[in-house]
Amino acid sequence: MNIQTYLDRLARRLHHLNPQQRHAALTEIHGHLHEEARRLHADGLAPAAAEAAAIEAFGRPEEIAVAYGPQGGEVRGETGEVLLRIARGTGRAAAATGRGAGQVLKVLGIVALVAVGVALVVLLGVLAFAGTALVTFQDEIREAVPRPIYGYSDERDMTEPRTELHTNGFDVGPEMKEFRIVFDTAPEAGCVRIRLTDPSGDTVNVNGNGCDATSYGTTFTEQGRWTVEYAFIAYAGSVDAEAWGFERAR
Amino acid sequence: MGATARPALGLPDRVEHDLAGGALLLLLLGHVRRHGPIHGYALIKAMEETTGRTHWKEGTIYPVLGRLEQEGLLRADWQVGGRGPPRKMYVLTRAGDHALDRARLVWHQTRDALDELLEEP
Repeated sequence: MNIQTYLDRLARRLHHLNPQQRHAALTEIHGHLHEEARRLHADGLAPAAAEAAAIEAFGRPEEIAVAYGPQGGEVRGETGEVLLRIARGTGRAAAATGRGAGQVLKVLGIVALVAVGVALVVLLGVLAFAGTALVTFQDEIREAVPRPIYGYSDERDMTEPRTELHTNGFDVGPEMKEFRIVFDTAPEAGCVRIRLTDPSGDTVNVNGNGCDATSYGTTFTEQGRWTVEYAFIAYAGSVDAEAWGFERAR
Repeated sequence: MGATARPALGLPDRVEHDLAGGALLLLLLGHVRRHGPIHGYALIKAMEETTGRTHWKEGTIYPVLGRLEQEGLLRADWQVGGRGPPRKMYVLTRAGDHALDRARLVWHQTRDALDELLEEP
């Protein structure tokens, strides 16, 4: 083997180095082999024999490549043999395993990419459909979703026989097509009378004497100020009232 | 290329082999300090002359020089011209000089400890 052939073989084994590192290493090694061959030739060896001897002393391409590897560096004769045997064995096993595993991974990768692509297309379709549906049915959705317009919650502990009044109310605007109000009473003792008055001042609902636990609700449509009067009569217990409005389609 | 069987080394040879191998970095840095700027070929020949025999595959010295250069212990410049391919000339950096001084202390301590241990009772 001459120096150029040796350098070509070594270059093929130094692909783990970047091009600049590889070029620098090969240039330096070329200088060494050139100088050693020249010295051996001067000592009497024929040119071809001198190159072969210089190469032999320098080390096989496999050894040098290992020395330039991440675990390389100082590689003595015996160490180089061991490293080479390990590298060869590991390399062959990895190559055989790698080819089979590579094919499987390739197929799995393609299948996974196709699945992800299909899932993305389906997801985009669903989102587009949902967006269109939301725009198309936005009026119906607005009418169907109630909006809170009134809330009252109270607890009383009136052990003495007396009456306390509490009055509040809420407004129903033109944007509202109807509203629903619900009263819950939980008397432990006494009574609570609840009177609901419409914007005209007419009583539209009253819960009788309200001495028992009750829950009732009613739907109304009239716009304006609605009033609720709570009359606690020797009352111990709690009261909850809530109203929700349903908006008209715009 | 089949592996060839090597004769087992005797203890004196193994000691020499191990000491020379273990001292590779010291030998490299020491020779560069003494002879630098020096190229790889001359460095290897000088080391062979110092230790009296070849303990390393010549080609595996160059990656070690490259690592020492990367670590900043050596500086290398290409010398172009003359006969043959360009040569990489190595000199010791200030960091390399300090590292070699510290390593020399370790070497002396080791040598003294071994001298005391191996001295005839």
